[in-house]
Amino acid sequence: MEALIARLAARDTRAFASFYDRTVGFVFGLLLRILGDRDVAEEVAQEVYLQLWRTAGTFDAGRSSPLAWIATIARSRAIDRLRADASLRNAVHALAGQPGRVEPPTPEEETSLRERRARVLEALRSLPAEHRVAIELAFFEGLSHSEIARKTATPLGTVKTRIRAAIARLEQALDSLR
Amino acid sequence: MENDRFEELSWSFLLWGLSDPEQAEWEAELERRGEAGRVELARMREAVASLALAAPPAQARSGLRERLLAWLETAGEGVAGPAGFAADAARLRRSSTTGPAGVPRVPRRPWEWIAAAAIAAGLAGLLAVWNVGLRDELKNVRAQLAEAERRLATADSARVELEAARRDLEALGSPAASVHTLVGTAERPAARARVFVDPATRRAILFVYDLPVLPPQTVYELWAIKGGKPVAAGTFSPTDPGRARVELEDVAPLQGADALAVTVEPAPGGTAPTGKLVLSSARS
Repeated sequence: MEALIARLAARDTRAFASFYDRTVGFVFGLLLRILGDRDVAEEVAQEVYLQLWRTAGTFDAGRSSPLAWIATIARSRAIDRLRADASLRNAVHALAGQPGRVEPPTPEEETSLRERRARVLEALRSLPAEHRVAIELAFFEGLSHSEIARKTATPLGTVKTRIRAAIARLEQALDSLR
Repeated sequence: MENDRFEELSWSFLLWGLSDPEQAEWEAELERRGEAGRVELARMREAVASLALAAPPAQARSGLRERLLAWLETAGEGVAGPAGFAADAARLRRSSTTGPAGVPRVPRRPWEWIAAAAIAAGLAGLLAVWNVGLRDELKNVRAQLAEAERRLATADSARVELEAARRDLEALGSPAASVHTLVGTAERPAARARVFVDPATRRAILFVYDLPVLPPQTVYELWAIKGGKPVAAGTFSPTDPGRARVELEDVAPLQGADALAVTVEPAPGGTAPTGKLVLSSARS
């Protein structure tokens, strides 16, 4: 993947096609999870891939993995759209307080990406439901500590503790892959 | 800085971004921690970003890939980096039919197009009806305005006429009023006129009939003949062919006049008659 990103930076359009094929399921799944609307998600996906193409030269493998780089850009643009579109946010917030659906990994998940996903899902499933709600509200809806506290009627300190615990669990799950 | 504080700021940075003071505090701590801090941050970044994997993978419609590749073939060699992206994003916002840098927007499903077209057609119809209604309303308002203006003008004219008639009645009904009747000369044999003079109110009114409108730069001038000498009593210019009603500003010349006469004179009139005599009278 790092080599592909380097080719994007060199303006190799054939590399872009390959990059797209390998990442669109992950990228579009994330956008759809955040935005909840397929058409809007596809519009934002265009923006995401444009930004990935434009900024490929800034990718630093020493700072993050390709997955983290892509996810950060995709999430950022989706949250921006969510914040800009009140109707989208209202629709998404109608689900607030409910942890997202966490599917068990399938037997076919053999690639590195799928293995990572399986670990993340496993880590999330192992969390108490309120911890999972807190981290999902933070990541998928972009809600701040205080916003989550208000939405879930939970003390701010408790929210911070839950998010810290959730991220620590994720770190442990990823460490096991190294 | 305590480790808990550093971690909290790092997660906040990765999830939401930091306020300026927090950003400065966090960057200073990151710098102080050096390589160890950067490694720790990278570890947190991976953990946070890995949450994206919790979203079930989903496939976009095939058209997205083709549109992006088509865009790369035609416009993909633009300015790299945030500046270039910002420019493309701006174009995206400006364009209603294309995505960033001309990438066509995501096509809607057929039923959505049909619904959108139906709504658009409905709106167009409503707008057309509304527009016709607006034009009719505008036409009605204009007609009402014209009618109001006509009535106002009529009312003004009527008020002026009424006021003039009132003054005429006052002059004619005054017990002190005198009347001069003028008849046409051979120059204007059909012409005639009457002059009412009321010394009590110092008003004089001249009624003229069958005197033609004069050419420019000429006026009719009324003369009061006293002791065989003409005295200028005022000028007038009929606007309604053959007729005129003139209120004379100065009645003094008319008082004690033996006779009246009207001549055609160069405008604005003179102190002695020079033109053709068209009317002449004798006190009645």
